[in-house]
Amino acid sequence: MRTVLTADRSTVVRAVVERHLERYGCRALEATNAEEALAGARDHQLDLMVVDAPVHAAAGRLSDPAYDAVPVILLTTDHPASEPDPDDPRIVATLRKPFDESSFDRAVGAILGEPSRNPAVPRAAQQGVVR
Amino acid sequence: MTDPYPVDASVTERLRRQRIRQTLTHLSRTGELPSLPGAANAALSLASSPDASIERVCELVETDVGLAARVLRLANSAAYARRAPARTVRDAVVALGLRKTCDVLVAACFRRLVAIPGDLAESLWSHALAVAIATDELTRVTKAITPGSGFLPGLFHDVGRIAFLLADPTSADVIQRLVDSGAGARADLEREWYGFDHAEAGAILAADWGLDATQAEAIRWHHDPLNAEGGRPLAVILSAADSIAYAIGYGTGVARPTMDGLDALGLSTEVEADCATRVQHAFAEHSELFA
Repeated sequence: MRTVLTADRSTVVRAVVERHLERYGCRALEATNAEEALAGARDHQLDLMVVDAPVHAAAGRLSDPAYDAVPVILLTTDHPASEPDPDDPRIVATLRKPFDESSFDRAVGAILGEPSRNPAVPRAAQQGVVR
Repeated sequence: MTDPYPVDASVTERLRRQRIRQTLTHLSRTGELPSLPGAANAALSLASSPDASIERVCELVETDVGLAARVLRLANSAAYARRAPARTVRDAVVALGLRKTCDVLVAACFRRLVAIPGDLAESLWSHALAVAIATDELTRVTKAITPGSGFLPGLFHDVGRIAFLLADPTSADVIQRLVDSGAGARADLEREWYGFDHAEAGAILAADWGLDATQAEAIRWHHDPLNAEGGRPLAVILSAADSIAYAIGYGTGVARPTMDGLDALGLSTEVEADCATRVQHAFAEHSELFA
């Protein structure tokens, strides 16, 4: 089963991302800061991370090979500080918050493939928390 | 010390409104903000027009067979029935009065806008109707604003939440579940996700739909009525009506609103209970009308 980590300080952002991920039938993990995101990357075989821009910037400064090996969809806002670094090879797509379902599917579908309308695994069994 | 680079508050406010509109249109599949059907717009402008006539309102009612049937049914209900039953649309409009007829027309159109699948949409509709009736009732009880002028602001008080649900149903459902699980206050969670809350969005939409500036301001502050300026009396009544709707079982979840409005009105326990009973009876009658 594919595993996706969502790292964002906001409860609602993590919950919305995880709700969308249910359609992909993958295991969803969550982190609220860079340290938890790095721990998630080290402890799990991640297929994808959906990461808030400031969390990603902080994680990048800590330079961890496990984190650097996972593709990242960057969650941005209209704040200039959340602009992605165009030379960052880990970033495969950006999503500006609040995003709509079709934008999410375009970004995530490129990595995980088409979403399933009927996820085979019940929601409770898919989710985990890193922290 | 004087700020050397003062920012014009009206510019800041205009930019904020622009951002809210852009966010909602960006999220919406249609790329547009929600709008009411044409008959509702005509009814809203008639409701606020000093030149509204029975003839003009009858013409409007007769454009839609379903609306005409509803107006006749309400005019012949226990609350409005006279000795002779209303047999024509004109009889019904006379029995109900121009304002009430326009209220019914707008509510019928609003019902269609909210007629989307799901429990959340249904509970938002019931809540809107209960708050509309309670607001109208409180205008009569308190006379703090024109008696009978509360139905439409009450009906539209949570239109921001309806806009969220129409544009972004997944996130609206996620936020509702987080509120119900005690993960945070609705307004805080909405601001985390959208950058603004439903009261701010609702005030903009209500103004677009034809409510006046005072009514839109009251909607903006219906969860924090003591911070309202021009619209404070109505904001206090909307907040109190919100509490009454929850008390009689027409809330939208387990998290109850603050009691700021009811506290500010200072009604006695008996008056408040009588008011809630009348709202409950009127709700039963109206909800059947719009089923």
